[in-house]
This record gives sequence, structure tokens and C-alpha cells, in this order.
Amino acid sequence: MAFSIRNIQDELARSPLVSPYPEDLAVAVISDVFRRAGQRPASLDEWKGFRTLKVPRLLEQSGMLAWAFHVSSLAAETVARPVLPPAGDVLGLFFISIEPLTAELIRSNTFRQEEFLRKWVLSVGGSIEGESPEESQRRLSRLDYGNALKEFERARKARLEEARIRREKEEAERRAAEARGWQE
Amino acid sequence: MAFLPELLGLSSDLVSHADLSRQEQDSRITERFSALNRALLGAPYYLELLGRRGFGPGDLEKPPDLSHFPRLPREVLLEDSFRLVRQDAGLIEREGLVAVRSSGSSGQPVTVYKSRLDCLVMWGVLRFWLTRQGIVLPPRPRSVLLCTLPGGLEYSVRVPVLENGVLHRISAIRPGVEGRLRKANPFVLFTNPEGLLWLLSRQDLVAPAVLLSSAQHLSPSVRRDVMSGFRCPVINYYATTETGPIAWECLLTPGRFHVLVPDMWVESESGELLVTRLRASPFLLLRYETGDRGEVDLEECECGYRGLTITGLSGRCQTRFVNPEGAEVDPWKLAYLFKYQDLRSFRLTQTGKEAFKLELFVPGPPSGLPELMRDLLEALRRLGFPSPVVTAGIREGNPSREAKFEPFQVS
Repeated sequence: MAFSIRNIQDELARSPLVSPYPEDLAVAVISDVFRRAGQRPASLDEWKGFRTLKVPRLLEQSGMLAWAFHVSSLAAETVARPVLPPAGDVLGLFFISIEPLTAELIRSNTFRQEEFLRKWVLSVGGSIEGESPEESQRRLSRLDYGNALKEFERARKARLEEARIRREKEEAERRAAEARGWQE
Repeated sequence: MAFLPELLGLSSDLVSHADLSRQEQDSRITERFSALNRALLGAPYYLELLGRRGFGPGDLEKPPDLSHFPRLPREVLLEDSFRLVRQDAGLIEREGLVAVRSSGSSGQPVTVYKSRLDCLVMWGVLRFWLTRQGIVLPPRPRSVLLCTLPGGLEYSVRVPVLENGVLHRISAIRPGVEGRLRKANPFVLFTNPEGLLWLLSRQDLVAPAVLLSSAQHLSPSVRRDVMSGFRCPVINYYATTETGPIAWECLLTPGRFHVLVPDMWVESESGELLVTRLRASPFLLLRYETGDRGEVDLEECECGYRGLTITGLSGRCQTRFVNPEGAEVDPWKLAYLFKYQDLRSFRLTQTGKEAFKLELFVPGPPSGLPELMRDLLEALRRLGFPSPVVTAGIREGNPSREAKFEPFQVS
């Protein structure tokens, strides 16, 4: 069954997050989804391994995944997958792919929340309702926050450089005007 | 000819949009939204705001996406509107930006920046309206801007982008206006409701192919009378200095303003109209809070337009002062006096037959007050108040703004 991102986002909007999920609770909620799907949950060693994958926001990101499982149909649709890859593979791939999304961005920015959900669907090998795989790939590529940050950084540097050039030009014009005044 | 291809393209995009299928319209809008989203990174204001709030350059793709983006309050334009200008390398120099002050229809004039093309857009939109009406431009058409402001400014300029035509600005308050208007013999005549009323009593003066009205509320009865009197269409359009032309009132169904898609996009949020400019411009406006109110629907109109339509448009001031002779006077004719004052806002209230209360909301100690009072008294005399009395009060800070602030009132 395909995932309905719009429905899941509506469900999340109806149950706002009131406080962060503690780490133990988040791990328990996520593990439970894999158990219901007939898969062995990620082991403690695998969770430790995620921390070495350069995912500094693992705690808050797993909390947000647990929240999404808890209050929306994301868990049910995940469990309904005919084949779910091993938990360690799914979660490792997912946590790496959602860097650098913070819990606050996932909670408050609808585009980052959509990106978060789409990356989960991709990690479990699912599809999006009403979209071809190419359309889903294109949408995800547009939403990718990692790329967005790179674009912002490029734009910031360009703005700074342009401001520097403009200042230098103004300064040169001022000096030229002063020089003319001296000669006259 | 500079900018003619761009203006013809603009006009033809507007003409063709209604003929596109829904899917083709969506595809064109997606292109414009995507281009705007990328352009936002060029403006320091959006670079900072969108970066801080986690938006990316690919987020804006379809109309529903827009509602998740931040609104642009007028206060941002008041503080430093240059931050909304795209500052990509060489773009400012290439586009030849000019700073323009708005009329202050909310009592708070703002500075906006326009490229040379932005300044000419109205001529492209005029071509679109003429095409819709089946009106063919003659060579070298004459246009007249019939101005009813007390300042009495007049000038003539060439308009190469309108078939090498010419534009005469003619003041209705200067002596000899009728002769100048007759001599100009305009093909296109721009004015406001006040000008239309003035023309109604002088129907033998001109025979334009089209009349255009803007800036204020135009009553359906006045428009009907003018259309039958001059036997030409009266295009009543909705525009602001900040955005340029936004929509025009349907000629078949009064009260319905068709949005100039794909150049402009309008949303209604809690009844307030938010305008996004989809046409490429160095000055970026995303969900700009116009202060005007109305509802927006996607519709197919009997006039053939298919797209966004504004209904219940309000916020354009309809207040009228009454002079001692009992004649109604449009107080907006005084707005230009406040345009270049260092004000946060102002309010002029008619409190008696010739008595007025002026409230000035200023950021700091005011300057130029005696000159302002002198000019205001003189302008009131010209509007038919022979001995006006104005009491002025100065306040620091802003007036409260629950709805659009009305700078002209009658108590």
C-alpha cells in the first residue's frame, strides 16, 4: 500500500508535539513498529552504531519518528509493507538521509516535515500515493534540506562578495572625486 | 526598441493564459513559483529569514505551498525595503533601479525599488486589456493621464513602447484644461473616479477608445454612466505602487476583480489580500500584506477569464469630506502632501464645516511642519474650503492597526 503523505501530515497537524520523547521511549516505539511488521528491532549495538554514523541529532530525530509513529498512520502503513528490510539497515539509512533536520524544523516547517516523511518512505522501500517513482524522486530532490543549506551558503558568500565589491567601487569613486577636486 | 519585446511577451502571456488547459496553467504557475523561490536567495531579507526558518530553494512549487511561506508585512518595507532587492552580481546596475515612494494609502508611505521594466509594465498590461476588448492600437496613439490632484502637475512624454505614442499628463484643476484635453484627443485616457465624474459633465470633449480608472472605489453606477456616455469600456483596475497592477474589474460582472495571472498571484488569508509577484523583478514581493480585504476564488467567468478572481474588494478608502457648499470632496487628493514627510503615519479628520484635526505619527522630532501646514491649508482652499482651520497634534510611534488604517476620516 502506498503512503499518503498528505494524510499523515494532516494527522500530525491534529496532534502537535507537546514535549520531546525521551530516548528510551522513542527506541521502544520505533522497535515496536518493526516487531509488528514481523522484523527483529534494531539491537542496542545497532543503536550505538547509529551514533557513530555522524548523526549528531539522533536523539531528537528518533523522538520525532516515534511521535510520527504514535499519532499518525505512518506506523500502520509501515507495518503493512509486504517486505520490510532489517531494522538496522532501515534506520541507519534513514538517520543519515535526514541530516541535518532538527526536531524543531520537522515540527514547525511543513516542507521539512514532508521531507522527513518522504525519506522514511524511501528507507522502507515504499511508494507515495498518486505519484510515480520518478515524481517522488524529483519532489524529494527539490525538498532536500542538505542541498538547500549548501545553496544558502553559496548565496551568503556571493552576497558578501558583492557587498565588498560595491564598497570598493564606492570607495574608488569617492577617491576619484576627491582627486578631481584637488586638480581643479 | 528597449523593453518592447518584454512588454509584448508580458501581454501575450496574459492573453494566452486564459486559453490554456488547467494542466498547462498549473505547469506555467509552477515554473513561475520555482523561479521566484530561487530568486528569493538573492535578496538579503529572504536569505536571512528563509534560512533561519528552514525553507529551501525548491519548496515553492504549487499554489498550496505558498500558504506555508512567511507573509511580508508593510513594516519591512518601512524599515529598509532595499533588503528586498535581489543583489546578484551586476543585477542592480543592469536593471537600472529607481526608488519610488508609495502614495501612502494606509497612511504610511513606503519606498519601493523598480527596474526600468517594472516602470513600464503598465503599458504591457494596457496592451493586454486592449487585446481582450478587441481594440487595435493606431500608430502613435495619444494617451492622457487626467489628474485631479491639487498639485496641478503636467507634463508630456514619448511612449515608444506603445506604438511610438505620447502621454500627456493634464491637470483638471489648471485653467484651460478643456482646451488641452480636446487638443490631445486621447485614444487612451487614464484617470480616477473623480476624473470620470468630471468627464461625465463634458462628454463632447473627448472620444477615447478606452477609459481606465484606478486608485479609489468606483461605483457601478458611475462606471455604467461613463460607459454609456462615452460608448467605450471603462477598465477599473486594482493596483498599488508596491506591486504594480494586480487585477481588473470584470466588464460583465461588476465587483469581480480578475487577477493578472501569471504575473501576479493573490491569496486571501483571514480576509486580507496577500499579493505575490510572479513576474521576474529585482524587487521581490512574496505574500505582501496589502492591507486591502477580499476573498479569492478560482473561477471561470462568463467574460472568458479563467483564473483567480477577487470578490468583496475593500480597503480602498471611500471617505468623503464635505465642503461648505455641500459638495463631496475626495480627501485622497491631499495624500501627496504627506508623501515626502518623515512620518510613520498620519490621520486627517474633518471635525466641522471647515475644521480639521491632523494627527501626525512621527519617528522623532518633526521637521517641516510649518511648510506642511501652509501647503495643507492652501490645498484645502482649492478643494472648496475658503477658511480652513487645522489643529495639529504630534505623536511618537505608530497608530494602532487592527484593520487597514484609514488616514482620512469624518467625525
